[in-house]
Amino acid sequence: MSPKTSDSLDTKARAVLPLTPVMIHILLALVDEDRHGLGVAEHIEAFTGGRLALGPGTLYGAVKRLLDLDLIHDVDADGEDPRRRYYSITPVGRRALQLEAADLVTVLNVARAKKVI
Amino acid sequence: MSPRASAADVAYAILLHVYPRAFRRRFEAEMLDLLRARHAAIIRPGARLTLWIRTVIDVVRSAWRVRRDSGRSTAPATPSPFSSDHLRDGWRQLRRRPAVSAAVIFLMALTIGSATSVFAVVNASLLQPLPFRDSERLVALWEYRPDRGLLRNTISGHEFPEWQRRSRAFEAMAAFHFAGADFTLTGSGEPAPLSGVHVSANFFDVLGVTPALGRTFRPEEDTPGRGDVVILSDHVWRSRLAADAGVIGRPITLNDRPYTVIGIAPSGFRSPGGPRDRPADLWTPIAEPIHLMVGRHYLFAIGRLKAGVSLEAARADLASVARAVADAYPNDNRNHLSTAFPLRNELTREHSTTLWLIFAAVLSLLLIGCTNMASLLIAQGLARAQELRVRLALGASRSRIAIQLLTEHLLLTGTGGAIGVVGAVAVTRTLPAAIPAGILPDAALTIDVRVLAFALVLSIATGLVFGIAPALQVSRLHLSDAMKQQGRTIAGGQSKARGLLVAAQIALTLVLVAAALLTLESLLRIRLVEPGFRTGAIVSADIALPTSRYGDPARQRAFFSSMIERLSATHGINNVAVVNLLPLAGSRSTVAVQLDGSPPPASAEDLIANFRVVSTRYFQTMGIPLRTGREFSAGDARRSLPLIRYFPRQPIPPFFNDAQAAPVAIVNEAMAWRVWPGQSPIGKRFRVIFSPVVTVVGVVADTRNDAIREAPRPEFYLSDLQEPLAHMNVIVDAGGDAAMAADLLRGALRAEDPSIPARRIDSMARLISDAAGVPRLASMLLGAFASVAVLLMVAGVYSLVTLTASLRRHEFAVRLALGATPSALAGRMIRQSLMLAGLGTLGGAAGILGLSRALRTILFEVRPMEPSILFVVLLLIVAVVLCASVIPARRLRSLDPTTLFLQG
Repeated sequence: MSPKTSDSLDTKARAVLPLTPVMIHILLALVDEDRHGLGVAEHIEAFTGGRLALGPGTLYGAVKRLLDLDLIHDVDADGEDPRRRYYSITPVGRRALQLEAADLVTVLNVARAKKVI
Repeated sequence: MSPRASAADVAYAILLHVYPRAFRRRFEAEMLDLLRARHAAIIRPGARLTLWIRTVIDVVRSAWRVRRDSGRSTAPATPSPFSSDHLRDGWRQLRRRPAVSAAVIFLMALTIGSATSVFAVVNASLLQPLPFRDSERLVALWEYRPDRGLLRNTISGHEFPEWQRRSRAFEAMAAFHFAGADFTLTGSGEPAPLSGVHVSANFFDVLGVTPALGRTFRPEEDTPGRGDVVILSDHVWRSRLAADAGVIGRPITLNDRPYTVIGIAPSGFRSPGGPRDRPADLWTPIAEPIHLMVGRHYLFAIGRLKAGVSLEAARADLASVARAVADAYPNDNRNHLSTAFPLRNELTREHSTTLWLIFAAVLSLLLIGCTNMASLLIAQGLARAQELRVRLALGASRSRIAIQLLTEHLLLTGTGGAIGVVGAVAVTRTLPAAIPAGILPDAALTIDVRVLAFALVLSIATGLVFGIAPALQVSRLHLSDAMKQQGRTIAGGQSKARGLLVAAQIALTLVLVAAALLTLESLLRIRLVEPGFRTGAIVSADIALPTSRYGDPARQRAFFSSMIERLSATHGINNVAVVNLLPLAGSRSTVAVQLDGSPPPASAEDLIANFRVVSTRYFQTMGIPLRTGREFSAGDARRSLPLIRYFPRQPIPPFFNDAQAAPVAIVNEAMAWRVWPGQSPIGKRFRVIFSPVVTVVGVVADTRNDAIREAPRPEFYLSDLQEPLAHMNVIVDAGGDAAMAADLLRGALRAEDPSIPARRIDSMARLISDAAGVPRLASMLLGAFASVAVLLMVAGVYSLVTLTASLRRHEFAVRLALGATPSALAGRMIRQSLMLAGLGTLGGAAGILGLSRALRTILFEVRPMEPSILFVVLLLIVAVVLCASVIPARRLRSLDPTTLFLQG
């Protein structure tokens, strides 16, 4: 990526921060592969160990926000079944996730240094 | 898919309607899918419910967030003025113009708050049903005597049982009266005077009221000798008997006799009828042979209509009953007709017209305030024309802007209304103290649902009705107009509308001011009415002797004679007398009188007259002049007491046939005129019910007897030396020092018999002034409303003229340049203002004409179209209009045509 492109990507990504925890989880779920809504929900439930079982409203409310902010986009995998809409993370979304994760790492390190965990 | 899941599908699909349509369209299928998956994963039955609860919570929370977020985006605005983005924008706009917004909100708060307060009173007094079961079936029954001009007469003792027996339209009837119903409670603390009511046994049943404790009367308790039972009011029970529930079945001492307490009335229960300012403290059976009381009209009666029977049918039934009774008692009941009115109307009859008048006045004030508000908003709209044009140019739809403006106006009226309601709540807490007794059915004034709904409807209606015009004016904005021609296209149509608004304001103000002035003048006339007796210095003490120790008429006479002697000898007292009922005191005693030895007067052979029992110096003390004949004297004392027998079988008193002073009476001029027209009444004789023949020895001047507004009625007086009573008022003239007089009265009473309390000590002036309570309140309120209306009207006229001037600057500049003089232009403006005033005055005069019928019933000796008042009002309005026009016109004079052109 040229510096200019990465700069503008960075700017765009910073502009959408901060992200809500639900949005971060969805982005995490989509960062390794494209999934449909149900798949995202199952994946999140799995990697949070059952702690975060998203209701449809919360999930799709966040999905809509992510779509509006251009952090994910939807891909009509096959036209037959509208429920099989796949979501895919965008470069801006990826960058934003990176930035959020980096912030979290900082917090984690400070917590460790202060013997919180 | 399991069948359960599809029902859940439907339920969830319905739930999803909480989301915006766009969101639903996009995501509904996916959301249902996810939910179904979750459902399928459930094994335990209890977890399904948990899932549903969590789903609902999830929907509610996320839907709110989605809606909020979609508002932030540039989605097309929803058309409703109540939508959140309209409301938000509206607030922002209002905050940018704090002065106008504050003015309008203040205006609305003031007018809506006043209207709500008045409506709360109207609601409590006139609209709320009486606190009795099926109260719309309760009627008040009266005797109707057209030959005597009596629309509502109390019923005589023998008549009531006949009505009860013969009528078929009523489930039940009950009677009540107040004679001999003044009790003194002794044996628990200080002797306490209590006002009671004698009632039929079924009184509480007819009303549909069950006692809070104990029971109501049994039929056998309403027979002579068995009536020593009593139901106490909640207030007495709490204040005198410490709310002890064990008092039921135990005796208390009333008038030195034991009465068994059988029940306690519910808290807040007010016995219908009776003096307004003295709510009943206890109820006890009539326990008299009332069927023997021919000619003694002392009963009030209420009836409960049978289900499905209309008032007209009941009246017809009663009419036939009265005819049957007249046939059965030809000597006594000739021309005795009957009538019935709904109980609710009866209790509010006196003041309902006044209340509605005040309500109409406050609504007029609201209208005037609204027209002012509309003017302000139109002016504001014109000032914003520039901004609105820009928005139109940028693509905002006309309807959107119009709705936006409407939302702003609704916000203004809504906020004003809310503040007004808060104010009304505060006012209604303190108001009951200022309201004359008896207008509110239970002395409580609450803002209930109906009142709140009224305020809400007012706020929304005023916002819509007076806010639409300013909002609509936007749609007439032409985008293509050059920016600098701001005022021109609008000034034409709008100034006519504004002009009409101001004319309407003037008309309403005229009506309000006239109504206020007329009511005020009426009040003054009432106060100036000569009652016919001296009111200034008289102080009276209401004393009821317990019949246990003072049952013998001779003892009663001795007591009051002794009081008179004692007080006469007291330094500071000019005159003392005794009378059983004070004039203008709200209650009266009327009896049937039979003439003896004279040709009967033109109408009926028996007539009904007021009568009072008075002591020898009564007329002197009260300042009532003697016209002819003589007053009572000590020589009139008889040995055989009392004089009046109320029914034929009442035993003749002892010593009746001994030689002694003859029975005498004094009549007033009205009675002399009515009964013996053209002759001297001295020496004429008559009987009072079953008394021996009484001879007229004197004629005194008329006084107002019952109500200050009614003409004096025929009245005769008996001497207390011949007809002593146990319940009298001792009146003293102490030369104006009311406090000293009260002390002297109390002291004399204590010296005479310390166990007897004075029931009430008051100055005559105060008693009479209380009677004028309602007109006084009315004129105060109307005066306040009228003053505010005048202020608003002045503001309205001023702002109209100013605005017109500034809008038509361009036009005036042209005229000036073409040679018109500034004074000519100013004159033009003033002429136009006067035309408006004329229009408004015409409207106002029409309004007063329309009101005159209502005004006539509450005005006293003042004709509604009283020329002097109208002239004053007209003058006032013209003066106000002129003043409001002169200042802006003056400013116009100092305008320089060139600056006008430059300003554009």
